[in-house]
Amino acid sequence: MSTIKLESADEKVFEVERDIACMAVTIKNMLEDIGETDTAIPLPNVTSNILEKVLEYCKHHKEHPTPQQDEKKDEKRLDDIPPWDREFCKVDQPTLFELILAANYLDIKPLLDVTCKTVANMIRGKTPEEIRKIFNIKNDFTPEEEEQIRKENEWCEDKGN
Amino acid sequence: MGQTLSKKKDPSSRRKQRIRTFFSSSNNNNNNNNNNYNVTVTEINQIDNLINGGDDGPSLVAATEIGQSSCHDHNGSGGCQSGSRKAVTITYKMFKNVDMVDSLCFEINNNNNPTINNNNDDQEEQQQQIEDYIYDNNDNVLLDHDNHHHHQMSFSGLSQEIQLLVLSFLGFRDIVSIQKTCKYWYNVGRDNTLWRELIAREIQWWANKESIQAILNTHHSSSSSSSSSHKQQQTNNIIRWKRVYCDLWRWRQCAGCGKQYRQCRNSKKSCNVHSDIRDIVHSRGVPSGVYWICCLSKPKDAAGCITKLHKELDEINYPNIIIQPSSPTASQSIK
Repeated sequence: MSTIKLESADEKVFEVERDIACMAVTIKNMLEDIGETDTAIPLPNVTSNILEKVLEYCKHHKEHPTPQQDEKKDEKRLDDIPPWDREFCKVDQPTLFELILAANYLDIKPLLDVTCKTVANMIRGKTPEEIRKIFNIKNDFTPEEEEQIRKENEWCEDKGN
Repeated sequence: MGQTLSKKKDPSSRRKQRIRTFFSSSNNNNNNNNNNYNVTVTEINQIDNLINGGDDGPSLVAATEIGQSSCHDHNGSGGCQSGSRKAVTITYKMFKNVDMVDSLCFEINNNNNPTINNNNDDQEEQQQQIEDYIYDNNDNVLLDHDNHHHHQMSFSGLSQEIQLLVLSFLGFRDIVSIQKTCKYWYNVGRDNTLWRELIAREIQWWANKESIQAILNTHHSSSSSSSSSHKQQQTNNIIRWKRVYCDLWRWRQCAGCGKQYRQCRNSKKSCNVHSDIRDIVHSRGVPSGVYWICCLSKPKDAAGCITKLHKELDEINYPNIIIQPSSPTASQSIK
């Protein structure tokens, strides 16, 4: 089984199986462009600790491929995160956001989805005040503006989700 | 309360403490062990001097500059490398962030009248926590290993594209909740595509897919302005999808049956009405109730035999189709 080398932003080199690395579309495309190579592929946007996590994710999902469900329909569901992925995303906020950035840069859609879903789950069902606490957001609305927003949503105020 | 405190402690040290607390509190909120918003002792002093020196406006600018220079030039300013303890730098972004500067302003303005950290023990403890946080057991500074990503490590710091991807997993209520947190998120949540996608996603749960799809299509081809009910949403050919969404969900009153309904829940079988109503009166002239003649004298609470779409008519507010019982002409018919 062929392996390739990846170099993180802080110049650590990871040797990974080609198949696993190719779950990242960005790397796959790079490899297609440059062909066989022995030199490490530089990933200047990903630090070693994040790259390690990303590769852990890819490895797990290579070994445990998720059965293809009826696509599209449930794409936006928040309650369908597999248990392993949920555990995987139990990290502090900065790490989670770095994972999102890495998944976006490396173009690993399932990872991007699952990390974004994790953030979405942090928001779901929360009041604005709770959301502010979670993400350290400062309220900069004047009472008048708050009233305007309330009016804007008035039609749907009593609607469920 | 604040007065007693200031007697115990030198005001400037308290102020410095607050500057320090201010920075470290943003760390704690992030649950993060290798965060970036720390200040050196020297920098605290510098900031404090500036704050103490003049009115808030120029001082803050100057303080901001300290932050910037110390971030970009470790050795040049702020004594990052010197002293018995090395210290972590202020992040440039930290100061760039208007919200943070605002809260700094707030802190400064409340300097003479402290409302936080009233308890001395708390303060001591907090101080210890900060010390623990900045320095490891060997008194080494816990420097952040990946400086490049500092500015992106909060949710608000991610690119809008990713923020919208996160929001795309949420429903109406949650998007509105995050819109209510601050101006920045209000505007992110206004994104038109987000709302259009939300409608497209929810449409499968709605009763009258076809007619809503028709509405969407009408909106889509902005040239056709035939859709009168949604004309108000089309200003300069820009469709405000959030408005459309809200309009689909608002309560309406049906002109046919008088019931309340929502456009998205409206289907061809929603409105049930009868065409003919009669009062049936028993032989001794005692009215037994109102019956529907149109569907073989069913009691009046029977569902209407004609089913159709709810329809809203603006000019009729409360249409009462249930005619008053015991009209003299109706009672004659049975006798």
